Amino acid sequence: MTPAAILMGGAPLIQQAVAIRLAKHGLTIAVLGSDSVTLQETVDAVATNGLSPVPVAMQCPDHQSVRDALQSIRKRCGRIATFVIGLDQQSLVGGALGLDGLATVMRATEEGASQLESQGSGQIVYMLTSTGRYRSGYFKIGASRLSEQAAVEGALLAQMRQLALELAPRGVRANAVAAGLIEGAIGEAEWLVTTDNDREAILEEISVGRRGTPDEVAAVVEFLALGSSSYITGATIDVNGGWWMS
Amino acid sequence: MSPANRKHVAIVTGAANGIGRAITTSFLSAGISVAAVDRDAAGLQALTQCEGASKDALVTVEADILVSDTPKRVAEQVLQQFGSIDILVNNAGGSIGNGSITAPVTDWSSTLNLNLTSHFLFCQAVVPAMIAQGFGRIINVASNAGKFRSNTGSSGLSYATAKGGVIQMTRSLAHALGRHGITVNALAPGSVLTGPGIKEAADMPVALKSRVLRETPLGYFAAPEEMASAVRFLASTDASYVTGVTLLANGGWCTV
Repeated sequence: MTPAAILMGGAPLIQQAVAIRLAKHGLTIAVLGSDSVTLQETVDAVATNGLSPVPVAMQCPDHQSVRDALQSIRKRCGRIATFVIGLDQQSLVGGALGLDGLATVMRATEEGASQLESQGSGQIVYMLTSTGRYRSGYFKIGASRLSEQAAVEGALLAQMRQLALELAPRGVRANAVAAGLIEGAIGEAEWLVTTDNDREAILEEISVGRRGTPDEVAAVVEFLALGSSSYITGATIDVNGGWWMS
Repeated sequence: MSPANRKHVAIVTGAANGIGRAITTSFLSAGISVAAVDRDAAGLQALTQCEGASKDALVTVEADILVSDTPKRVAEQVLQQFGSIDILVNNAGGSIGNGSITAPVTDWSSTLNLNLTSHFLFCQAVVPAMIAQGFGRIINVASNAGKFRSNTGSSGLSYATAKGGVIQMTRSLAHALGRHGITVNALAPGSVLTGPGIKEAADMPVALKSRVLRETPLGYFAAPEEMASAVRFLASTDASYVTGVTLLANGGWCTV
C-alpha cells in the first residue's frame, strides 16, 4: 500500500501539476470532484508522465460522498499523506460560488481534516489566490464574482489557520498558497482580453516581470505537502512573483 | 548549462553552528558547494568532517562579518575558487550587549551591524555576479521577533528592530532584482534549539516555557534541520515564483 494524496478543486492545470509532482514521491493520487472531465484530465496527466500507481478519480457531488471516498481511499492506501484543496472551478467560472460554494469546500476540508486527525498525521494544503489574501490585483469584472471569490478565499484562510491550531497536537499541519497571475490557470480569461499596453502595465507590478506557471505553484504546494515544511503550520505563502508582499 | 540547472554554489554566514550549520550540511548533502563563513574556527573545522564536505564542495572562511570588507573579500574568494555565486544565505545574527531601551548606542549599533548591515553588505557583494549570470537566490534569516515580536520576550529591542529591517530589505531587494532572475526571501524562525536556543530553553522559567509551548500549536521548539529544509526550498529552482516572501517557520505561533 502506498499513501494517498487527495486532490480536490483548484485550477485544473495547477491540480495536474501538483498531481505529477506528488506522484513522483510515490503517493497514490486520488482526485475528487464534481466534474468528470476535469477529474479525467488530472488522471491522464499523471498517466502520460508514466507515473504509478494508477491514479484514482472519484466523483463527489456532496460532502457525504467526500467522506465515503476518503474512507475508501484510506482503506485502500492505508494512509492519507496529504489533502490538497482548492475552489471548485465549475462554480467559479459559472458564477455560482457563493455561500453554497464556500460551504462545500469547508465541509470537504473538514472531512479531510477529520480523516487526517483520526490517523494522527498528514498535511492539508489550500490552493488559493492573491484575491483571497489581498484583493484582485488587476481585473475588475463586476462587483459580484470577484468579491465572492475574495470573501470565500478569505474565509478559507481563516479556516486554515484555525485548523492548524486545532490539529497540530494530532500531528496534522495546515497551510495555504496564495497564487498570483498564473498562465492558463489564474486570471487567464481576463488576461486574454487585456490589451498589450495593459499587460505591460500589469507585468511592471510583478517583481519578476512575468506571469507564473502552474508548475511554479505546484512546487510550493509540494513543499507544504511534505515533511520538509515540518515546522510550518498556519502559514500562507504568496506565489505571485513578488507582486504584493505580506 | 544554464545557471539555473548546473550545480550551485552557496555562501552561508554563521555557518559553524546551529541553523547555519544545518543549512550547510543540508546544502552539501544536496550537492550544493558551500563557502561557510564564521569566526568560530573550531566549528568550521568540525564542518569539514561532515558528509559531502570534500575540498571541492566546502570551503571554510574564518572571518568576522562585522569587519566591513569581509563580504567583498568572501565574494571574491568564492568567485575565484568556484567560478560563481548562486545562493547567499545571510544567517549570522544575534544580540550584542544590552538590547533594551536603556542600551548605550554602541550596543544598539553593534546589534544592527551584525543583524542588518552585514546582510546588506553581503547582498551588495554577491548581487553583481548574480545579475551577470541572470540567476540568484538570496535568503535572509529574520525572526519571529522581526515580524511580530519575540515569542519568549527574551529578544531585545535592537535585535527585533534589525530583524524587522531585514524583512523590509528583503521585500525591496526582491522587487529590485526580480527581473534579473534573482529571488530574495526571508525566513522567520520561531524558537529553535540551536546552542544559544538550547541554553535559552534550559534557562527559561518553567511557567514561561510552558506558556510559549502552549501558544505554539506544534507544541515544541524547532530543530535547526527544520529551518534548513525551508531554506533549501527557498534556495531551489523550484521556488522560482516565490520572492519578497517572509516564510514563517514558527510552529504556527503567529501566522498572518
